[in-house]
Amino acid sequence: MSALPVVCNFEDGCILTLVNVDTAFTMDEVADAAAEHFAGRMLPLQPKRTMRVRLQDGENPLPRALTVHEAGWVPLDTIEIFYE
Amino acid sequence: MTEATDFMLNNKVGPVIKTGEIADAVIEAVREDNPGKTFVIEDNLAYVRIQTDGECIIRRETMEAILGRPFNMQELGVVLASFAGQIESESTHFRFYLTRTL
Amino acid sequence: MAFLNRADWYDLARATNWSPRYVSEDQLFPPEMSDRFGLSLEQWEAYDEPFKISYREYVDVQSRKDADAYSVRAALARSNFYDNADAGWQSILKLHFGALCLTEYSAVPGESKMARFGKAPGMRNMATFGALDEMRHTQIQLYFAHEFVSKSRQFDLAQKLLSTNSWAAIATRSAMDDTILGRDAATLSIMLTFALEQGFTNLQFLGLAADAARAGDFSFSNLISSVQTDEARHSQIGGATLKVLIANGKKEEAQRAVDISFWRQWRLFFTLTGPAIDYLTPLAHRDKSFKEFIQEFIVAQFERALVDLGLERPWYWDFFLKSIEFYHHSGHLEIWFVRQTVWWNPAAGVSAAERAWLEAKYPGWNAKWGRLWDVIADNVRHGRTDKLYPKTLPMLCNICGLSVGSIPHEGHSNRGYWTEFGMRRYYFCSEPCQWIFNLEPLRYQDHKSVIDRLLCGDIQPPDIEGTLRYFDLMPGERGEDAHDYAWAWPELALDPAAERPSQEAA
Repeated sequence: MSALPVVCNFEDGCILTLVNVDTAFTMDEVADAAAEHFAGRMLPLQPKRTMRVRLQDGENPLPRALTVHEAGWVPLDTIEIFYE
Repeated sequence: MTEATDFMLNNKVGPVIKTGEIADAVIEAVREDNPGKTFVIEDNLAYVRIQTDGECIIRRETMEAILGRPFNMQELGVVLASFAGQIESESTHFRFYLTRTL
Repeated sequence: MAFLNRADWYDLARATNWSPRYVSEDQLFPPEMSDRFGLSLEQWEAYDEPFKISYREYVDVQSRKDADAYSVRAALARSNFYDNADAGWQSILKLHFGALCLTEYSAVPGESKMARFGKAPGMRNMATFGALDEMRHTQIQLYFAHEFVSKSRQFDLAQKLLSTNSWAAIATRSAMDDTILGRDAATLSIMLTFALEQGFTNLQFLGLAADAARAGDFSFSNLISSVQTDEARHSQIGGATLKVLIANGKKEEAQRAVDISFWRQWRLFFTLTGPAIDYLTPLAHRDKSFKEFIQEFIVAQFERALVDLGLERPWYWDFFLKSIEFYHHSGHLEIWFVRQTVWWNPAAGVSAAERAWLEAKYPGWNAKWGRLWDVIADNVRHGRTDKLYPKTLPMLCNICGLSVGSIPHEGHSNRGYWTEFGMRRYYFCSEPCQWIFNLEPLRYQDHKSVIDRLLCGDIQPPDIEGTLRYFDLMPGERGEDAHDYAWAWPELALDPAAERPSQEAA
């Protein structure tokens, strides 16, 4: 377990933001960590909708239970969070 | 997109001058020194944009006649804040011009 | 007393090139200081500065400018304009003086480098005056700013900013060093005088002067438009360089210098001038939008002159035109959000009436940025104070040092750019900033962005308070909402002084 800084591009946002995630985080936890900086601050809270994570230019969302470590991310990888 | 591009497709030249006595004199002088040309004067309170197509000349003797006193063309530099086109600065006149017509 | 016409003696008087006998030409004018393009002294002889002035004339003209600026200030000194001005306008003064006083001073070595190392006599002559100009800009603006130090500690930043490590200081120093200290005289004449001073300074020093006059701040309006009259003269140094370079087959290299500098300055100026004109200036005193000033000074005037000199528009021109519509809106929102990291009090500028103005000037503004401000206003009204400040930093670009912005409510319209070089990843806000890095990675590899400093442990503790202390911004200097959030209550927006209803429970 260690902290990994990633760059987060949140759906409908307009500023890329630095977010620290733990390598043990699942993708669901990554999405929650990212949402903390957007939803309810500049974007509306959408608690009933499921968030998914993909890499910038990635075709598909990453599996929700996949961990950051398993995904093989490196510092400053850029991720997109979107609502299903 | 085309809207902003259109702004570049112009042949406007001329001085942008701090408002005041000299600016008023230049507005009068350019009409005399550039016969037959149409000028657009845009007053932005802090500065006046004086523009015409292709070439704009301001002569020392015209400025002197309007101001009723000797005028060194460099006095224009006291209030010349910007300009459109290229500039030629002589003791007898200032000239704003473009070399290519779009 | 009769004088010869300047034209009768000027060319001879400034013919100061000679053939060195005891040192080589390259020793007298080292290429890394003088001319990376590799032109000979003889080729530079063709340089013809279009805005000529003699020293006698220079002294006369400059003394008139100073007499004018100082006398207007003296006449208005007792008018209490500042005390009665809107908090947004007060913030513009703090922003302007902090960002520019010593940045002007950083241009003195640039003009001085051209005055000593320029291979064209005309460049050396005009740059000597340019160096004096930039000293004037520093001193007169510091003097005007000093009047306000007793009003707010935030005016201290007029002298302090560039010696701090705030994000704004790092971004400014990096751009100016890349333009001036790290360039030869010929290149910097293009990057500093042509791309910056013939282009973007018009936005801040004339566009804002127009708003200042409307706001009744004649002292400030007169000051900054006076500064720009110096720029109008010495900015002509670069255009003459471009003509020499194009005539000697160096168009491609000259174009590259323009493209690099234009983009770097655009990144700084939408951050500086965009919010000032479209958000901080009180609505009643606005006329043209930031976009309209860009169309006037940059598109219709500067780019037109560029094409007339024989160059092309920068390769990213289409993207530049698109970015006029959104960069500064997202930039303003971000600055407001991280307002503790700046030395002025950002005015949100999004009351109902202001939104109508923004929508008229930028159709679609409400559906994009307006919706973000709706969420913020709701947090204000419900007392969710913790949601009104960031808990992390925006990602910052390794070239311009600024955030990565796009259009909100368009899905994922934003994207990051990066280059792997050496042992690490360099991150960029845009394709042009990445292009600048990729041209010369060795030039930029050791520069650390604020994010780099955070991640490598320079900033301790690595949180918001640690960052603010690293930025050397103390309580009293850090920005707060200019109008104490009055804009968030629609019924109060037109009268910020009205009594506010008690906050609704969260």
